[in-house]
Amino acid sequence: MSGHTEAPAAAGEEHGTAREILLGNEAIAHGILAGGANVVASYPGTPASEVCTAAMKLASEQGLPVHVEWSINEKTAFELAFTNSITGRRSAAIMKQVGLNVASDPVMSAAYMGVTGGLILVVADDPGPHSSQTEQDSRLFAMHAKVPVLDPMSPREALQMTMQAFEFSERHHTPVILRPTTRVCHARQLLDLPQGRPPKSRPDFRKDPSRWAATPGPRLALHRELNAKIREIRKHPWARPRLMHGTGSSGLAVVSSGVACAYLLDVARDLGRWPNLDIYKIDMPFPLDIQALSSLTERYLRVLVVEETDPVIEMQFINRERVSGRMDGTVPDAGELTPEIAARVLDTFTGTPSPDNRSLSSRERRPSLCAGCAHRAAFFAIKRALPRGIYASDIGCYTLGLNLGGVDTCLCMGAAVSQAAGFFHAFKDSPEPPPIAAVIGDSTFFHAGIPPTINAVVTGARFVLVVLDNATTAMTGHQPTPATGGMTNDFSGRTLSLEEAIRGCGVRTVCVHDPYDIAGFIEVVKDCYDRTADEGVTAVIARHPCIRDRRALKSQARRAVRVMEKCNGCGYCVREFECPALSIEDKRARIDRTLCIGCGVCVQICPVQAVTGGER
Amino acid sequence: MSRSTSSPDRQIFMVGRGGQGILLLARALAEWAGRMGCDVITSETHGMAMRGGTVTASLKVGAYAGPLIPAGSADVLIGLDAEEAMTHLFMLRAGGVSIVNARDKGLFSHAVDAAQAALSLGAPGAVNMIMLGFAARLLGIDRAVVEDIVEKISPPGALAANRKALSAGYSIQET
Repeated sequence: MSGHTEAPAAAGEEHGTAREILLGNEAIAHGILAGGANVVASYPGTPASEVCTAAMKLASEQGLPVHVEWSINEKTAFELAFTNSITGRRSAAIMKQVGLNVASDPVMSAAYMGVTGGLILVVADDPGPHSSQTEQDSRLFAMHAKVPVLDPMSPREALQMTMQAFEFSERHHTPVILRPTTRVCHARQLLDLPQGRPPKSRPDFRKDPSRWAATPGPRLALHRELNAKIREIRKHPWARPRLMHGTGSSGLAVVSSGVACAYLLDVARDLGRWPNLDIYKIDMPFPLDIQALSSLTERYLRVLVVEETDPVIEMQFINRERVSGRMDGTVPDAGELTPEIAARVLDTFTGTPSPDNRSLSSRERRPSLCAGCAHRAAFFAIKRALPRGIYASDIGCYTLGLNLGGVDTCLCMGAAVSQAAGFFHAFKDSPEPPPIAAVIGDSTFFHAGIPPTINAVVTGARFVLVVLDNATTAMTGHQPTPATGGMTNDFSGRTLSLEEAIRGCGVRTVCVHDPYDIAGFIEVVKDCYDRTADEGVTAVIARHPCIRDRRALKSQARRAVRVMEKCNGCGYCVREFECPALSIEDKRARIDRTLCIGCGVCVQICPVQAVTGGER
Repeated sequence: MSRSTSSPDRQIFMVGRGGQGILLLARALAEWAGRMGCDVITSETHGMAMRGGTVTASLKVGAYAGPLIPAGSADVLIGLDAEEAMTHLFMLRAGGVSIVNARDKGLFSHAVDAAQAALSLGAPGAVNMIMLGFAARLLGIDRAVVEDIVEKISPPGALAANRKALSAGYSIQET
């Protein structure tokens, strides 16, 4: 057994440090605050969400002079953090990989300008993908933006890297991207808690328009300066492969980064099938020490690169004749890497026969909206109010309206509104244009729905905008929204209601209705659709709190829902309403009492009135 | 060069459906390993799958680098849902032990009807804590330690139900 893992410091408590089991994302939050950040800003998104939640909690508990906020979107979060970091103070912006797409405009520009205080951009990638639209590799984005990127393999390493990244950022005057993946974000590990230091508090903004307000002329100079920074950063130890397993003089080398490296180390130790193998780890996949890579291809017969998700390290080898990886198909070119795939890839690379080639996997149960979720009621009603309609939808729990046939499109945050307008223009000259609805969640509307709503109003599109208002950002773990308030650690700021925001976009009719009242909600949507002929865009706010909120659940009526004798087992409720608490057993509907919350909506939808539910 | 049998390293795989509270179960076991002075790394499912989909968690006690358990190498499988446990039995190594919330024992090593027990306690959401109590009993985990951990990590609103369910799990009859 080679002791390749970084052992936790023995008996940490004796040295006056506390040890705790922390989620990767909590570890990053500890690193950010102990590293002395004064501003932390984020928009929630799996797998990144818990970083800001933890930072908010820690900042309050420890009474730190830090501003932590849930920003309205990732672009705003990054701009806020960046600006703090050009006043010499430390900051962090946190988002998921597709959030970086939203923030890409300021990130690209900020790389040219650089920073005076440390700036960490935490971007959590989601190979798989488990909870994302794409498997995009933010290390590739980092290369595109010319920003150094760190790739931790564990919560422990994520914590260490976060702490060190602030000084690194300040030494090189550049933002630094920390790129954990889902398996690092959502791993828990026993960690020594860092000792916090008081953050620098005095802002110092030195006016320099040729940098902070640069026009295209000075931008060329900034680009040259950035290239020089990257050349300097290539000399850092993080840019060189580090031997983690083997003698360093074997015939074959494997180069890896991130959690893929952890899998390689585990299988190499546990299976022991590959004695003549050296495993190297790279902490910073961009920029790399090109000489160090070349010396590997000179010293070894062959080199295998194993990384998630794109060939970022692999591409930086100048001579790839002896290099295998994703580019030649030795490593699968899509999907998450797992310990099983790591073992199979090592077998292929070394020509070792695999002892067991069975591919073991299970059929995963598909997710669905919770029993009692008001989104389900809203989708059921929208389909009946606008039959044969086109339902443009968006990103959130309600994407699961797919299961009810209530979601026809889901492109990216905010696209429901612009896609509804797109469908309107595509079909407006058809003999019978379909009714069109844009269905979007409350937090998503604030994030990216406002500009396309204004755009639709001022360019003559006609559709019903349905905002599913459950008073929270549910999918990512119940973060606040601008309408609920509580966006910052000190509860400063006012709230903005959805009605105000939608009216401010120029929409004249804004109705509010609880979708639990199916018949009433259908009427409201129909009426709003009729009004689109004169008004263009009309809006319905489907208002009912998320039932995962314990307080909301407690305050709503709980009905004793029962299936009566006259149920004929037609299956309409299961097929059309898809509540996980409903199933058909022995030709009768059955209610799973461990799941049913007694919302009573199924009482309204049964075609033969075979479900009853009086208030308890 | 497989690990010697005297090694304390242990890999526990947990599976269930979103909403059953598998994360709290995994966290409780991780805390236990940590208190035993062992290095520990876990992996959890978050996000969309938590809405009723298949949810898995891994717990690795010992000098592991990565959080995932390879197929066919778990020492213990804890299933909060019988169907999910059945389709994930391939995660166990030969001789591995399955501990499952199921009405019928079937192919499992140990089964209890935790769903029914939770309903009779008036806490249908506490299947996870019943299974924690039951698994802790089978694995020889000190009851006082587990009770203390549940006090520490339960959400305030669920603490009373969790206490009751944990205690019920310690004394539940196998099916």
